[in-house]
Amino acid sequence: MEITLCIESSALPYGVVLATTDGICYDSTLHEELAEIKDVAQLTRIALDASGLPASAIRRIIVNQGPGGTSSIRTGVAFANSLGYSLKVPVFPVNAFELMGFAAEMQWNCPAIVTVKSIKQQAYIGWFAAGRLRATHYGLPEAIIPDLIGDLPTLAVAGAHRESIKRLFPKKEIHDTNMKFGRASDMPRMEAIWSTRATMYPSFVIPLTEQSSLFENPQP
Amino acid sequence: MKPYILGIESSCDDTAIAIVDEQGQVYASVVSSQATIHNQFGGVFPELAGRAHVASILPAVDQAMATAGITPQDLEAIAVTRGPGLIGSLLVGLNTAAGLGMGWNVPVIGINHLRGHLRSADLEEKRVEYPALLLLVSGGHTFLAHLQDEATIQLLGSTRDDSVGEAFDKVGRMLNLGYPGGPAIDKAAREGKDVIPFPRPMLHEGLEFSFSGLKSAVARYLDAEPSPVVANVAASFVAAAMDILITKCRKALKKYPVRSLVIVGGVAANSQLREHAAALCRKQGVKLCLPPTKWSTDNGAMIALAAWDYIRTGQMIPPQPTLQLSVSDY
Repeated sequence: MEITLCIESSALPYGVVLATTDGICYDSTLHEELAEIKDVAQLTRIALDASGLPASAIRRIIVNQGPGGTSSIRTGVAFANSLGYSLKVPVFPVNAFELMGFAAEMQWNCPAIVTVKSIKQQAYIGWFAAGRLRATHYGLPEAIIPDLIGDLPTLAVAGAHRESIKRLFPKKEIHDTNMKFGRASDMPRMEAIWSTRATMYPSFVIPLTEQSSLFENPQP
Repeated sequence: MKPYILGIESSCDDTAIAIVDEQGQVYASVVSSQATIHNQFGGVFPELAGRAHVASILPAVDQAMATAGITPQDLEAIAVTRGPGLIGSLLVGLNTAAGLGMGWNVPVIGINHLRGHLRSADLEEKRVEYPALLLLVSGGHTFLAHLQDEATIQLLGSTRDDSVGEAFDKVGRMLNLGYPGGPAIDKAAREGKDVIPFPRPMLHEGLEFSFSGLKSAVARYLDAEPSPVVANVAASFVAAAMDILITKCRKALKKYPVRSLVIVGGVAANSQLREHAAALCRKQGVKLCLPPTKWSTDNGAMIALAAWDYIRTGQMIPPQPTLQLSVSDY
């Protein structure tokens, strides 16, 4: 059996999902007793054992590369990189904007603003529409989001600033996903986004931060 | 038993990987330094340290395995520092070790960084004769311990505030000598004279240390002195720091008769400490055990060698981060 391991470690509960071509066979977030475990390796071992699978059954790894809680994202990425290296299987990064934007668009069938908290009131901001990430910014949400949204009458919001975005635009139709963080269980069906990003050593995944090139040249 | 252990050390600002056998022979040692990243801050910037570890750790593992010419099937275990250290840095090493262990089907053992340091004196060559006294002097730690053997350790006294290495880094920053401060201050001190009477905090109070007062005294002197002679400030600071360290060692040797004095940690590379310690040991009839400078600072080999002790004593500690650990802890 060929297994896809999906890792989302930006916040508790960490999500570890095992999936086959038939669908998800294990999702750690459905197990309340695992909600406080801050150990991706332990969750992966639990998932494999519960599914009766060896680690060698893993054929690919999908991991959230952030942005997000810096140490927790690094935890998932470091584990994914070294497991991919040791098993000689590809690691596919998806970012937090894609992870939440994809779920928002699936839920509400409209473009989505996704935000992730940073320091000093700053935020990572992503604009997801028609199946892919269209723009990314780093800065103050109230300064950036009005230009991103423009005259668009309807949108969805996901991430850390959902309430403040709704307050900022009282006349727009804004759908709240109630998602603060991404879900590992969405990763398998995001193949159109991650499938071209196979990363094999000597390449490996680097967590996204405010210094990443994604935030160097804001797209229009 | 398989012949090698892969050691991973990422507790602070160096990503270090090594392959070591049970006798302490080192088949590969890779250290990826972050000094250029932290130099501009005059000390370690924890978030940037964590980021740099992610970028350097897999290439270091790959290079170490290739240099040693071994396969994962040759590994008895993967040993990884579990603490003390910076949490963001520790997590990269621990999770990397966990991924390698799972993929290669090799057990992973969490190692106390301090136990790694005390074993560094036996890398490549058996140097330590037991019982021994250990002085660990680094950027994160300053303490004296009694070693009955490799595994039986009693803490005798540690610093109540700054470590001596931290004092070197901070004084180095005050004197604009760059980071890390140790080598630069050592060099400057050799060109100056010990003419400033800096204090020796807690010099006569047991085997505990304190370096915060000495560091503050240097800061006050520099605030009050419009044209300080940097070399003289460095020489006077180093003289005070060495006086404290050597006095404590002398007291400990008097109280605990041992066969050797082991000095490890980054500050063990200080030339004046080496000279003064050699003189003390000659006088006391004790063997001085100083690892080569490359094993004094953080490295993966000391973690791997310590792991063999863990295996011998059945201490299969899980690779979980533990920020507070005493040297007597596994």
